[in-house]
Amino acid sequence: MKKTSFICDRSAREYFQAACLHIKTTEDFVLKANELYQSSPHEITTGCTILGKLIKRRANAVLREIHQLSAYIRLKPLPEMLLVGKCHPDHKTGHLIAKSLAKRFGNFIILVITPNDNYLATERTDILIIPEFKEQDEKILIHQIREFADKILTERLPVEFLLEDGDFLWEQYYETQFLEQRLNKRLFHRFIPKYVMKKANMNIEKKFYEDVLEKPEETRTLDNFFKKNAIVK
Amino acid sequence: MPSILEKLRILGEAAKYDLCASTASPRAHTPGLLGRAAASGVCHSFLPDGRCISLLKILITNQCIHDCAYCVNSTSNIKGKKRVSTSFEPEELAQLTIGFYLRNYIEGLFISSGVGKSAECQAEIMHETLELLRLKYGFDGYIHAKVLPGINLDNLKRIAELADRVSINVELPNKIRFAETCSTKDYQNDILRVTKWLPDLQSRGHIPAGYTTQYVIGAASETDKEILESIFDFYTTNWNFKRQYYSTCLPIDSRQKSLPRSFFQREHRLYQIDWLRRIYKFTSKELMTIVNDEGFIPLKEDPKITLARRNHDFFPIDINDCKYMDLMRVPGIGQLSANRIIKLQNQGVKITKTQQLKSIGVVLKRALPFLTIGEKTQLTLDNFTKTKGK
Repeated sequence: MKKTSFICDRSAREYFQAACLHIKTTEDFVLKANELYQSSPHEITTGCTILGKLIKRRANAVLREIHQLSAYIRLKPLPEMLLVGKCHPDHKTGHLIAKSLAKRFGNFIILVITPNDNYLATERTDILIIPEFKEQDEKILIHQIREFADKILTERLPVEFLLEDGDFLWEQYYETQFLEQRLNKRLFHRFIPKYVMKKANMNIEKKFYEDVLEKPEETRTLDNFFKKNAIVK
Repeated sequence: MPSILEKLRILGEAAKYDLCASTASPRAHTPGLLGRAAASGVCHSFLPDGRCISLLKILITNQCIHDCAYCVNSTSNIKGKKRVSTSFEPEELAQLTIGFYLRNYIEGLFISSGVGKSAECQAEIMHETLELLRLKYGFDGYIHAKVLPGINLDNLKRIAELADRVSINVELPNKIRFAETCSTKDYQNDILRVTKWLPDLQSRGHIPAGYTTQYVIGAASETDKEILESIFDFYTTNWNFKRQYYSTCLPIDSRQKSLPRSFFQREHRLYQIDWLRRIYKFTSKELMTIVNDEGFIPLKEDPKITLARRNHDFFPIDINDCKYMDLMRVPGIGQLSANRIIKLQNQGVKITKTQQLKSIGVVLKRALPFLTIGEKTQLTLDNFTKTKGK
């Protein structure tokens, strides 16, 4: 039994809806899952049958991805009140990530670019409909959306907040925060597994991690062992 | 004059020892403003030391008039050393905060400072920064302000009106220990006097995310008993601290890049006891029994297991017929798993297998000796001796 298969923190409906966005979910699976959701929803929440367990496992994978990418995705601010982010989600979660970011940045238009599609979202009440942009080329796409935002909004983001060298500044700041004496690889990997770094384009963390964590270890001697595992009374 | 980049490096480096964890604020969001303090908090990155980065943690200045033995910025630790002293302008800090926030690097700002000319002077600059962020730029994200020792009530009020959380570093558990590490500050006048104003400010609706404090562990010859007495006192309704943080005093001049794991064990045990008091609702009296004759917490064993072994009359408890607070006393069962077990009890679901407990999130190795599942006590000869401590 998987660790998460018996827990019941969310409703069956939430699990069902999230499982439908899983990359492996087929039409046939959706029909079967819907049937189970209508007839015995508790089987989904407790994961006590094979199908219930599968729905729950897929839903958890989707929900985890939305949670992680919304926090770890890096955005680029543009003067037309536009924030652009790129990520590589495994599941069909792009629109939900954009929606979650739109909640945080209420006055902005959020553009999330994934390898297969792009997603726009905003919480602004003065933009009633956002047209679909199907352009494949990233630069042209951003240009088109900037033009759209330029026409529809009069507001502009002050230049001083654009921080042209923002990523570099952050990289420098990130490095200063590290306490070498507290190095804890296990904890670091638990919070940011390698695949998440790749999915969310966390280049700064990746680079620093490679510099710091993948340094060749000191020669393993008995002395080193006792030094590391000494017990303070 | 140092550039923004140099200032960020110097003042970021100097702020890395300050602790802040949660960024959750119950304050309502004002539509139209920039950012939102999420009710659950968000971590935007992690460091290879396992600590999260959710706030831009920065000092306004690294100049300080105090001589605290544990601090990198103190007058006693910079004697004879080449060091660049620098300060941020309020406008620079506001721009950096919003710039990083828009790039989704941070959830808000953690602002602290060395005591440049005087505490009041730094408090003015801190207030000016917060005012710029909140009022001029409409920043509605999370702000944690570290107030300086000896600040006056007016300045504290002004900062508390704009910040989500404020904290003041107690650093050491009592007056005597405090005097061992610092000769320029007074525990009673500079720390406790300011701390006493905080409950009143919160009751007036300021500081929605509460107030916290931080101890530096091992800077003086304080015992764990002294620290625990101070912690438990601060969690009573008189003080009502939201959280307290513990930070092992790292050697300032040490060239050692790594320290033994056990170096941080004392800090870890203090955090465990803090959680037992705050979340698991153990009483201060029973937690004090863990401390040994010399006044220290034994480092070898988890305090929750020690307490469970001492209360062997209470255990084992029936997993299908027990209350939430009883479950919280079982080692290996946390808040989340206790809630899940109670939820299942309410739904009429009986737990009959250990695998079910595992899937709930219970740590079987620790919990099983203290539980009865389906009228069976999960005691083997091995863990029987461990449980009974014979």
